[in-house]
Amino acid sequence: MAETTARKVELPVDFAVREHRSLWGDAWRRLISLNTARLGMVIVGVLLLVSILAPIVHDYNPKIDSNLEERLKPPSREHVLGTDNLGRDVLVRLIHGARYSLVVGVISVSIGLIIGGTLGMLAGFIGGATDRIIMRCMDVILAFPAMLLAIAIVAVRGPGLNNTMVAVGVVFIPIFARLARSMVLSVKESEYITAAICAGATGRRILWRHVLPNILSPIIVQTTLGLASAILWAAGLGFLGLGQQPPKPEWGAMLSDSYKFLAKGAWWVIVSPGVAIMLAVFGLNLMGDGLRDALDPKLQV
Amino acid sequence: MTRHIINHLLSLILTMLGVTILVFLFIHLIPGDPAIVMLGEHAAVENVERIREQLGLNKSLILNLDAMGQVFRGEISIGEGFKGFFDSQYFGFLGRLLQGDLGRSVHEHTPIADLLKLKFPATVELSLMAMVFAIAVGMPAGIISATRRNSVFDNVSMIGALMGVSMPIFWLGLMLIYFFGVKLGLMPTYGRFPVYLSLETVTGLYILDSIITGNLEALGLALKHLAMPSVALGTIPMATIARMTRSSVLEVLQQDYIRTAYAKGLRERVVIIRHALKNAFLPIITVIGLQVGGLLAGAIMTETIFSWPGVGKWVYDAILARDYPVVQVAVLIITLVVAIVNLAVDISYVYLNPRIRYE
Repeated sequence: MAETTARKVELPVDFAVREHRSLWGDAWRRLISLNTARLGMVIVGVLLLVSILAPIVHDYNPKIDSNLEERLKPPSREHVLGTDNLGRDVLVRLIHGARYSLVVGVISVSIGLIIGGTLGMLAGFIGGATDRIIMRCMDVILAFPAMLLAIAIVAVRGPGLNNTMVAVGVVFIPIFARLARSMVLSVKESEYITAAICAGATGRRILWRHVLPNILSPIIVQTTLGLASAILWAAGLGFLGLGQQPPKPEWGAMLSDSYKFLAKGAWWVIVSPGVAIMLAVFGLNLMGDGLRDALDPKLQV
Repeated sequence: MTRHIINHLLSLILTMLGVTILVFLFIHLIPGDPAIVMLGEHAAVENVERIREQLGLNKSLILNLDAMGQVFRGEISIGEGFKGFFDSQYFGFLGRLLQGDLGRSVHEHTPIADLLKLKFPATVELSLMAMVFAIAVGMPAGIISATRRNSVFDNVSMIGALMGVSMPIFWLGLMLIYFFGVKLGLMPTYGRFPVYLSLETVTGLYILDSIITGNLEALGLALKHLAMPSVALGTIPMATIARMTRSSVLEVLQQDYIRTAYAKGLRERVVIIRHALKNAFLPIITVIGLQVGGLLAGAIMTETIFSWPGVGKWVYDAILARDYPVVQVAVLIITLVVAIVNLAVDISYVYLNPRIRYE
C-alpha cells in the first residue's frame, strides 16, 4: 500500500526528463501556441514567398504590359481578378507588387531602428545633457503627426520609392529612440549592470553584452508592428502619387491609378489591391500582438 | 499642480519652437532657389523678386553672425548688435507668425489667414464627427467584448477591430463611395454641401450653422455629406479605441473591489458602469487624445478622396502646386492643434485620477 502511494506521487513530475528550454525557445513555443499568431505567420510567410518567387518564376515588365482589347474586364477564368484600364491582369500586378511593400517596410523600419535605437540607447545610457538634447530633438519630430511628416518629407525630396523609404524611416526614428531609452533606463539600475561595472567592463561592452539583450523583446515587437504601419503609410504615399510611380505595380499606386474607373462600375480594380494591403498589414499586426504576448508573459491578461 | 501645468506648457513652447525651425527650414531643404522652386523655372523676374523679398532670402538663415563680428570690432553698439543678431530669415518668419501674419499663398494671391478661416472649420467638423463615430461605436464594443470575454461577439469584434487598424483609410473611403454612392446612389460622393445651394454660415461648422438658423433641410444635407467621410476617417480611431477599452476594462475587472462589488449583490450593470468603467477610463481617454494626431493626418487622404474643402485637401493641393508657404502654415497649424490636445490630455490626467500627485 505504502509503495504504490509513493509511486503515484513520483510519476507526474519527472524533473530529470524535462528538457532544457531557452528563453527564446520558450517564447517560440508560446508564439506558435497562439492561433492568431499562427495565422499572422502564415500570411507573412505567403507574402514573403510571393515577393521572392514572383520575379524568379515570371518576368514582368510593367512598361510594355498593356492589352487595350481587354480593358476593364471583370473577373473571369482568364483574368481571375479582372483587368485594369490598360488591360493589365490585376492578379499578376498584385503578385509583382508584393515586393515593394515588403522592401519599403523592411528598409524604412531598419532606418528607424538603427538610427533611433542607437540614439535612444545612448540617451538612456549616458544621461545628463546628452539625454536632454537627443530627446528634445526626438520630441520635435514626434510632434508632427506621422503621416503628415512623411508627406512633408516626400514633398521636399520629391516623389519616388527611395524617398518614401527615407520619409517613413524618419518617422520611425523618434518612436524607436523613445522605446530604447525607456528600456535602457529601466535596465540600467539592475544589479547585473552594477556587477558588470564592478567587474571593470567598458561602457561599450556593457551596452552590447548586458543592456542590448535585455531590451530586445519590446524592440522586436515594435519592429513587427512598425513593419505593418510602414506598409500602410507607403501605400498611402503611393496613393497620393508621392510614392512609387506608375506603371510599377505598387499597391497604393495601383489604387490611385484606377480609382477613377469606379464610376464606371469597375469595382475589381479597387477591391483587390486594398485587400492585399489589408491582409499584409493584418498579418504583421497579428504577429506583433502574438510576439508581445509570447515575449512578455507578465503582460498577458 | 500649477507647477506641473507650467512645466508642460514650457515644454510645449520649446517643442513648438523646434517645430517652427523645421517648418521654416522645409523650403530651404528643397534643392535650388526657393523662389524659383515655388514659381517654376519660367517665372517672370519681377515675380521671383517679389517672392525673394517676401521671404527675405537675402538675409542669413537662422542667426546673423555678422552682427556679432561687428560688435566685437566696435562698429556698432551692443544693443544694435543684439538686434542685428536676430535679423535673419527665421526670426523674421517667427516674428510674422507671432503677429498673426501667416503670409500669402503664392498661387492664389490671397492671405493664407483668410484661406485658413475658410478651410479650418471644415476639417474640425469632419474630425469631430469622425471622433463621435469612433467613440460611439468603439467604446461600447470594447466594453461588451471585455465583459463577454471569449464569446463570439468578443472574437468577431476584436478581429474586426484589428482589420480596422490594418485597413488603408483611403481604400475604405473608395469602397464606401463605390457602394453607397455609385452602386446604391444613396449618398453624395464629394463635397460638404450641394454646389448649387448656399448655406448661411455663422461658425463655419455646417451642422451647427443649420441648427442655429433652424434650417432642417440643410441639416439633413450637411449630415448626408458628412456621413461617409467621417466613417472612413473614424475607422482607425474606432478600432484602436475598441481594443484599448477592452484591455483596460479587462484589467479592472480582475481587481478585488470588483469581486467585492459582486459579492455585495450588486447587479452586473451597476458593477460595470459604476465601478469598472470609472477606473478603466484613464487609459481610454489617453488613447482618444492620441488619436487626434492620426485623425488630422488621415484627413489629408479622406479629404482628398471626398473632395472635402478642408485643411487636408488644402495641404495636398498646395504640395502638388508647390505652394510652399501654404504647406508651411498648414503643417504648423495641424501640429500645433495636436500638441495642444495632447497637453490637454496630460493635464486632464490629474483631474481624472486623484492617485497621481505631481510634486
